[in-house]
Amino acid sequence: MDLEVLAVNYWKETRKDLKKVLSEPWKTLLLFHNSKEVKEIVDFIKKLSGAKKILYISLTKTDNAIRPYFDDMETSLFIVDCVSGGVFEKKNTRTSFYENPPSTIDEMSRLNDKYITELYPDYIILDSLSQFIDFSTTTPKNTQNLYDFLNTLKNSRNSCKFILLYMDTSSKSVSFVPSYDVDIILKMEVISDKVYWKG
Amino acid sequence: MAKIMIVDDNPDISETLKTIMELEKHETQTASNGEEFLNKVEKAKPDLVLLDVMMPGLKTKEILVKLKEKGLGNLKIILVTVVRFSDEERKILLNEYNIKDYVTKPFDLPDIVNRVRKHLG
Repeated sequence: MDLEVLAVNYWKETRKDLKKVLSEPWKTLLLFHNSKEVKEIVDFIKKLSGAKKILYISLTKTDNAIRPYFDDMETSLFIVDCVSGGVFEKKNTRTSFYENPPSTIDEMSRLNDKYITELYPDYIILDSLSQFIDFSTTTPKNTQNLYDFLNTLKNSRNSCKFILLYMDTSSKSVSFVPSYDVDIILKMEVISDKVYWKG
Repeated sequence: MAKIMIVDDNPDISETLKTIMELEKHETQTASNGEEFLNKVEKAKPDLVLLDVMMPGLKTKEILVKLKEKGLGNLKIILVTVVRFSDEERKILLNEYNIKDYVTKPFDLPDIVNRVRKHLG
């Protein structure tokens, strides 16, 4: 079967003007990344200005795995941990909340609404959209739900900004991106290898 | 040759692991959730289980409790998961939950093969 072009994505190297990009007005930011660990994600979050209160909704990392990386940041961090409860006995604290993992985007949206209403954060990190959608497939399930969800966030009247993480570790190319449904799309590439000069 | 059970709700991952384990000459069985795994495990008598952490239905801790109730608390289990735990939590999994190993997705194929070989002794 002949292959057809499904999408042409342009990626711009923004390292030098990342601060400028992030300082422009935006409501939703979709971050493609290949980071397997927490540090690089938190380093990105630290580049955001005006983050006094952050709500981190995690479907891929435990509260205990995330929190230490924010220790040097002067911000109130609230974590909704959707994974620990499945493995460990956990009780809510003032800043840590344990929930069952949402299995659909609609459930994710309800979880999001619940905590925005309770906490009024400046930034909300959703980690990760890759639990619901695969941008490397051409006929993803939940596509319409995804667009509805992204547009609801983009057009919401609350003052918070949304950072939507997408862990892109597939060997397949990204075949579509929701260009019109988020304000900014960035791709962060973490390159890891042995450091030969260290011996 | 060993008997390996692969428990994952993602059919692509399940198929990949099945193929790799069969290339290693192991006999495989799959289950797509905790309930199916618990229904099959006594008959299958696996030597090793590759267990996903976040699946619909039973939680991981419930699966481990039910395994103990079935007298299978010593079953060799390797967690294969997208979830990042803290170092302290990993220790708890390995020491208190009797999990043999912990592999993070996306996994490196030679790495998971080596870990399986190691735990099958």
